[in-house]
Amino acid sequence: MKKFLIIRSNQESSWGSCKVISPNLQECYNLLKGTGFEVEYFDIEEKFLKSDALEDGTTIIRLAEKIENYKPTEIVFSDHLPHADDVLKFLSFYIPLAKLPPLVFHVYGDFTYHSHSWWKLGEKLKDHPVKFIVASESQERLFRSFCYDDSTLETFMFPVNGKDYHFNEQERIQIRAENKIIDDELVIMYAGRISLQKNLETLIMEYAELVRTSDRPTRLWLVGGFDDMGAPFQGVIGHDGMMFDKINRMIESLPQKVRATITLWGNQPKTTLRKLKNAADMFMSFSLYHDEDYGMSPAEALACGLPALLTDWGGYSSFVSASGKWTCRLMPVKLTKYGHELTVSRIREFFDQQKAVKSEASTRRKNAEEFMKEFSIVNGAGKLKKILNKEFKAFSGFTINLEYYSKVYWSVRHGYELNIQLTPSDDNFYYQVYKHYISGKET
Amino acid sequence: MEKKEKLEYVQWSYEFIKGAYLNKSEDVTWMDKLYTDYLQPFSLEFFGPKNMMLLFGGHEFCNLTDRTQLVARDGVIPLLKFFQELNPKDLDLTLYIPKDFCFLVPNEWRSKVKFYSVKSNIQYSSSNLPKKLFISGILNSTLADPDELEESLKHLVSVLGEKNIANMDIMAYFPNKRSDLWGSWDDENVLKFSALIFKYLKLDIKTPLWPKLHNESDFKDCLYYEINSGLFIKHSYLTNFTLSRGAGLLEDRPLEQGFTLTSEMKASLYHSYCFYDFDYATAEAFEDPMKFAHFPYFKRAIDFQKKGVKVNFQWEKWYASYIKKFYKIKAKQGADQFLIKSIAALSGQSDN
Repeated sequence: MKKFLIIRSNQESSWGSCKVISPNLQECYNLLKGTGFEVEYFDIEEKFLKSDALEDGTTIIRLAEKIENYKPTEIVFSDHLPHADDVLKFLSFYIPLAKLPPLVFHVYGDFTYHSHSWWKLGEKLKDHPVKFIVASESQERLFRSFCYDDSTLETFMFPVNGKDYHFNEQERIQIRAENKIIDDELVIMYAGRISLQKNLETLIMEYAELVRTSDRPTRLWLVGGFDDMGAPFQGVIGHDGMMFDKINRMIESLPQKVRATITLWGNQPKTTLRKLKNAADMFMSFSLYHDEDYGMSPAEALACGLPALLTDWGGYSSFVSASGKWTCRLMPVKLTKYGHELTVSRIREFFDQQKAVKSEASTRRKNAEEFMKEFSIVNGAGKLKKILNKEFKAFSGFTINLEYYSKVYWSVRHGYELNIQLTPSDDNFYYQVYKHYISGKET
Repeated sequence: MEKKEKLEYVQWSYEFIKGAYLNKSEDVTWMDKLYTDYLQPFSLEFFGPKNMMLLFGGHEFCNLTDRTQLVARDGVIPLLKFFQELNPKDLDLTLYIPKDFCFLVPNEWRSKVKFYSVKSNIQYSSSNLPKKLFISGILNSTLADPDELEESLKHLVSVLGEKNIANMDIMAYFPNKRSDLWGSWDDENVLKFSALIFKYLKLDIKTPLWPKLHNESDFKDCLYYEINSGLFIKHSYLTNFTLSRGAGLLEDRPLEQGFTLTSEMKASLYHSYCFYDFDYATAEAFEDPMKFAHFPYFKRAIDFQKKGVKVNFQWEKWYASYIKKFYKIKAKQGADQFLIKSIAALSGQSDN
């Protein structure tokens, strides 16, 4: 019997996608209980050192006691924060790290953001049995480029909760009626943060061009809260209200006929989000975000049977079905000396393809079911079990590249200076790292 | 009394502070940062139409020569200082200030100053109640007093109703002063502030810390209520933060006489800015400035020193001395009598 002690955050993540990913992942672990696995959780506050100052005893002492008493065969860090390096640094005061059982780390998109902590952690974990579990093939390539040896690396794509996201014809009919959408009208949808690096400008401008020449009435729905983080590693600092102003001005500058077809829905609860996804006809996201290791929003759209056009960037390429069981196409991305280059003609191709396909409820349902066969929580639990049953290997450490990268990142993060090595280009360090986010898959 | 003469009385404050200058001590050079630090998170920057910003950084005004229009988020004291120290002939810009401060604009600035207000799409009232209440503000010995808080809370309760408040989820956020400026609990009125909040609202109030609060993305069905006398900052970061995430404000007062709405600009899906022209000749406030909600704060700022407020360390000393300076200089020139007469005249007690 394997005994897992899962260290998780006791509060909801500030990241929208992690608010969904964490409970889904824990569901997978819960399903393993009684199948040769025993699972216990240890809750820890994100800022545990600060909160400890207010309490009797410390979180870390309680964790050390838990490890001593429960005697886990493996310890799992399931959340992105608090960072495992912080926890292990303080835990080592009470239990030498060499005496800890094998360690499992779920690695999120913020691996690059927290590269400084990962580098420090790598130094501590040399020769210790570990598993790093990343969420997509692209993230695996990126992570591997910083490792001497990839035998400790596994890929596990986060599951989607089918109770929250599925195709429902009644909801489609209801929402389309409420919004006065006529039968042959097409709704293109984007859902996710409205953030600079999510590249909404391209979507809006290309949509305007699409509508201008389309013979079918079309709408664009943008669902999500505005996020003003900008692109801090590339020297673009946002202020509250910046993205709204940018997007609003862009929409206002379009002809009235086009403007009237664009709806900004703002943040929506998941039930409304599912209904909107059910009512839409295609999903588009042209993100070039620096931490796009997965893509929970496209995954949820595919779980509702929506055909999707996504950039060939980060985790997005992992959603393509090689056997065409569901529809997910990629828009090619290239890194040139001028930055990212997108093949926007793919939008027209995709739109025309989808326009020709009548959106039958049976097709949508079938696509959704096929997708969920791969991405359901039950299926996820099975995949996770296989990964966890694999033999642990001793970690040989991160390469010196991670130290260099973390230092450059660190200085930019704290100084908000533009560093030529981190701006999108094809002849700098950004390229060496982020070329792995491009799969080159033909779809 | 002729109306023209009454208009002249509005100028009393400028007469009063005319010729008063701030003694710029050596400390002041590094105090710019302290000013905005001290007022965080209300002073944090955000993006808004027509170059929205704080004019005053705690020491000097920001560079104004590269802009043709500007929206000031500042409160009474920085605006007073601005109008006093800058010459309108030197600047080619249109300055928008909060509508509540129209009584502050001296004659020579009037052609260059216009007004704005913040408008939430959803406005709460006794007939449209929110499910949640988020109350925040600037409460400490320097920036507010318990009487002010009590007035604000009474007003809130009168609109929402005691029983309705009991059913609402309430969240409160009142940031402390920097620890090196913190006086004793007694000096800072902490217990009085807390007691009033619990008395007028309820005991079950959530008090999140800033990192948690800053991660909140959904303020729908929530009334944002700010206890802010507008001494230093009138339009705060927290107002923009909560409104852009779906919060609403209390229903607007009817537009005062003299204002004409010229444009409205969206700042988020849930709130916008209204811009106004103002006709000084027809404004009723110039017959009785007390009709302006913020006029008492203006008087209070001038009258600050009389309260015997205890001040701590550099930054506050600097501000206290700044306010005191006006008072002292003019006191030498008989300003006390001028002030007493002017206020009496304005509040209709005397025409002498």
